[in-house]
Amino acid sequence: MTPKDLTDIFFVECEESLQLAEAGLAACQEGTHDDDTINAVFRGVHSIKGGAGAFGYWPLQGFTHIFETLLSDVRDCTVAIEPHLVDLLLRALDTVSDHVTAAREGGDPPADAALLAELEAAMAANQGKAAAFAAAVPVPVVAPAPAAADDFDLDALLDGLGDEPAETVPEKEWLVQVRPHAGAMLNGSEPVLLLRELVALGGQCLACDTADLPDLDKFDPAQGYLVWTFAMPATVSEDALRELFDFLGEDCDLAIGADAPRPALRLAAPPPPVPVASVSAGGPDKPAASAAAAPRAAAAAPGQSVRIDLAKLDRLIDTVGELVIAQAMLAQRLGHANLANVEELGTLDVLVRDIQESAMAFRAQPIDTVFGRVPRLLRELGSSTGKRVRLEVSGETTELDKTVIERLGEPLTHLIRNAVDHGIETPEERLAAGKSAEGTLTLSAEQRAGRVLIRIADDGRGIDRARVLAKARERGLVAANATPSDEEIDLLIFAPGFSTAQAVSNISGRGVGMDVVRQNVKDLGGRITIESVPEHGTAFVLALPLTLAISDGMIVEVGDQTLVVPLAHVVESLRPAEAELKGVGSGRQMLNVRGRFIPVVPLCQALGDHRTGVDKQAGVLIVVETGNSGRAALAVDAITDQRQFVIKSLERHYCHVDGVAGATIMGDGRVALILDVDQLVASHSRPPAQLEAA
Amino acid sequence: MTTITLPPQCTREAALAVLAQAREQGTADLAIDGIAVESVGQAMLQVLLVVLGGRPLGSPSAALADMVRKVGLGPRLLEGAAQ
Repeated sequence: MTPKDLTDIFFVECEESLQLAEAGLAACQEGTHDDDTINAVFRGVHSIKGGAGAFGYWPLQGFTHIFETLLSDVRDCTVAIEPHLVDLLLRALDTVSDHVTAAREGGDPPADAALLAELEAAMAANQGKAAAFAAAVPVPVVAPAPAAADDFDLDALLDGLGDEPAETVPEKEWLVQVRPHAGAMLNGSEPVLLLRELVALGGQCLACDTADLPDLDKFDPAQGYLVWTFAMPATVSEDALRELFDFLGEDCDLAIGADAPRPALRLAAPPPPVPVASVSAGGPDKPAASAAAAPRAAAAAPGQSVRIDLAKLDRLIDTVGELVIAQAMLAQRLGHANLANVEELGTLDVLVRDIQESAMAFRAQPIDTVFGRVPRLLRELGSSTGKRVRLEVSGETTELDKTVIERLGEPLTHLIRNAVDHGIETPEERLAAGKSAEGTLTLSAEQRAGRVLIRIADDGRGIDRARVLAKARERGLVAANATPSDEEIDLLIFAPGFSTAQAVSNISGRGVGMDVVRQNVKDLGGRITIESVPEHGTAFVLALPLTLAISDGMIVEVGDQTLVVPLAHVVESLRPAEAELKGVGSGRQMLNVRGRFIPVVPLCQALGDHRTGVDKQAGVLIVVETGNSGRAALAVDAITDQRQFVIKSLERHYCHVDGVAGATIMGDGRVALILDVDQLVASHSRPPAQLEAA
Repeated sequence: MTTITLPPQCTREAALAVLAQAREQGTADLAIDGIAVESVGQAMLQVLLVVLGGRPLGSPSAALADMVRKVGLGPRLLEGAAQ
């Protein structure tokens, strides 16, 4: 494991600790002040501090130290939890997050002097005890240079050897023996880094005791055989040193003082032997089952996890993709030999799907990793707009592909900023409208029909459609005589550069965001819809795919082309009767589906093949649901199959093509285009002169 | 004389590899070169102490020498003081 691996783990753990602390403080805000909640917050901050010290991130360690001291007072009930204190703690946590970001990206640490003063003032209010404690433990904002050997005051050290440290801060240099055990060298921990920390704090290694080292034959490198004796300067307290090593827990013994006995060697038990015997124990007739049982039993142990390099997972996903293609090829060849229905092929199909779903599950993350950032965003927005917003979250355990999660942050942030800036009214306006002074933002996520629906709803004023339409007409986006529906007016806010804001704020209003939001969602293979009710609020609903790599699709033929219609769009397929098709205007047709007329989109025309017209009576119509254009019927020549397909980027290998979302490789090795159903239907059904915004 | 060249990152895994090689080849006629070392952990320090048995490291890098001194093993690993 390289130092970079270790720091990467530290930063991942920082994020986990921040989430832990954030959740705890959110509970405090709701009035939960029990020991478990306070301890969870304390543990989160404490873990960050420990790692920051070990890795030399001094500004982060310094800030978390003061923060942790105040939390310690809260935990000891010497400082009461009041709303203003929770607010201070939340702001302090935001600053810790900024420190972590700065440390990770090598940037400048945030300006934290004012907040540190607030934290210290909160401690000072605690009868001066906390302030005294803070003063007793100097924060090494800049790592002090180790004391030169020539400057080391051995006389003073020896003078102090017989003295028991009576207070937290000893008056002279003092001794500590450090004995890291086997566990201190596991899971990314490295005792030598902590010893280096002692040197950075001004300590000096007087001796490394190697007496416990056995001969080469008996030597086990996993054990901790060494004991170090360090002389620490008076400026470093015993508490500070213990906190530094707290990171290692019981895996490291410390003995403070010259008279302290030398920590004893503690040999760790050897790792359990590989259960080779259990493989044969099942008898010669069932070796495979027994062999499989051993790892399965290990995997079933609760709470165990392993960190895997994301590149390795991506390679696995790629390989599974190739497996899906290979399976399709096999199925096709067997089909040509009239063996398409053999039982083994069905079993293979189920197994491949299981493997694919398991591989995808490795990349799945709960959406809470994105939702978890929202409380801070709302605090910042509340502070800059003066609006009070309460957050309600549901479905935060819903899982999505890691890439989708990562790319979801930006559009979600933008939608929330818009909701607070444009949607939710000021407390005065809300009270005048008969609402509570505090607005509500609701975030929810749920899995439905192979997609994840994320809903961002506010209880604000709703979209002012009259103003949106007036602005659209002013900009020439809507013809003067056109009368678009409410839904079409709502969609105008996605037009590039469109904004009805009377003033541009630092939050929103320049009209450079909503079109990007829609594009971001579209790039993820998703779609965004709007539900807005005047005076009651607006909801944006994002429908996203669970994964970006493999999906289910309907394989169709149009002329000599094989195309894929993503199954997520498909409602039904049918062969219409002549009477169910009605001509509208110049060559357009509508399909009557149980009393409801929807436009027919001949795919041959959409693909630019005007000579090979599809016979709509002889062909098949696939009714699809789109994000922004309602339902439509795609006219194809035939439906040939329905199966999983591996999504390959067309843009990476060729260029963007309107109406095409990507490509895939079919069982016979040919490339088939995956249709962008939303775009195809929108471009067919919407007169460009009427609504350019679409 | 067989020489083992230590990797830049002397992690626990690297220590296991060096130990295995030392056990296989024997330590009597073994030298260890630390010219490329950028960081070293406790496991590797222990392996060096056991394998070298009082002989000094060959060509320690500045980073290795600095760390070895800081943890009080300069006399043993850099100057070859007997155990």
